[in-house]
Amino acid sequence: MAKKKKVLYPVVFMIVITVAFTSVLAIINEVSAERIQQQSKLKEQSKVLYAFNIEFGETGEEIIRQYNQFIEERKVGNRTYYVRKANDEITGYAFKIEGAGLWGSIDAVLAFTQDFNKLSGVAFLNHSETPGLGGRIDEEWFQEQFRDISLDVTATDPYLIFKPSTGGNVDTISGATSTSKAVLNIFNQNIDVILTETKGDVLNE
Amino acid sequence: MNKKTKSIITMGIWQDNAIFRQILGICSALAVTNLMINSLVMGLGLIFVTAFSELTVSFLRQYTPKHIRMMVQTLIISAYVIMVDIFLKAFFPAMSEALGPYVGLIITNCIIMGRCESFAQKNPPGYAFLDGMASGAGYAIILLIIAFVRELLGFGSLFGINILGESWVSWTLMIMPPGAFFMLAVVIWISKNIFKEKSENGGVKV
Repeated sequence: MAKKKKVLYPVVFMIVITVAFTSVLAIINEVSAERIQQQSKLKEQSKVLYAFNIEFGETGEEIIRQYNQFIEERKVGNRTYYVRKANDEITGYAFKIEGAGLWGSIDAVLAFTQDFNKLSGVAFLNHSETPGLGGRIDEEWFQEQFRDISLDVTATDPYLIFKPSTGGNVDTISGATSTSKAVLNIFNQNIDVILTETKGDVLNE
Repeated sequence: MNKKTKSIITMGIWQDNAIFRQILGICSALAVTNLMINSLVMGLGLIFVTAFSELTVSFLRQYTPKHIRMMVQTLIISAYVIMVDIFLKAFFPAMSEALGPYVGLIITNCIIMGRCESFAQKNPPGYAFLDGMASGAGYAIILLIIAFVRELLGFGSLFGINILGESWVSWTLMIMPPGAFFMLAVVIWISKNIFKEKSENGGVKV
């Protein structure tokens, strides 16, 4: 503590130590940035595959291979969407959507058949719902309910309705009513936008 | 193992345990203990950050002007926390998501600041590092005990492996925040009773 009474020393000390730590962190960040980006890309790809009901392997390489084989990314306006292809023939479309959950925003992927008459499936990308309650939306049984649901744009009822109401097609999560409602709202609203607006743009490409 | 080493370890893990003796680090203890795996990762993160922060603070203690030591400590702690955060994001993205903001919030965990200030400022690096490990381990052990009960009763599983079978009706209360409060209170209650006996025998002074 010899120089503690001087003014210059603490300032210089603080600058030196800040620069030192910041540089170390900057290097670590630089080294890992690519890996982190790959990880989030991989997650997104596996969710798109899941929404289309395409089986994929556990490892990163397999997911990328499957993804490149079946999925093509295209753009309409600023929005990226995913096209499912089998032997150069389009068999489906998927869109990334976002909306307000109970505690935070929920990001998901909605996949449709090529004629937009059916929902092929859904997958959740990010959410901040309570683990064990609303957080169960990303469990398989909940997501599987949304497979092959017929969509009728001319009907007055919402596309997705909870059982046991008339015309109900999906179950709620017991103990997580608010999250379930929020999820259904997000889906219904986005399906409507996609069927009435985005669909036209996509098919005209 | 000399006397000081032994005393640092027992103090950190048991007699001066951050959670049930000093009531520090409660916020994260309540938040992440609904699953064993979350608690384990959080505990390991805290052991790493506390140990290395104390080591660094101890190395720099003779060169650090006293009146800016808190700034220096905060800087050191945050650097290590960011390292943990980046590490989780790069190698365990699922874990990083499950813990959400709590990894970043290790910075504000009073245990680290408390140990840097009260121990690392006065002791050589070797002991400081050990003290960080012991304090962090004390925190991790309590988190795992709480998570053990919460996950077992709340999900019927441990580390995600189903233990109690399909017929088990999960206690939703245990998963929700009140479950954490009840469990933490029980842990503190039990430990209070253990220490009461000891101090009557002339053991630990409270």
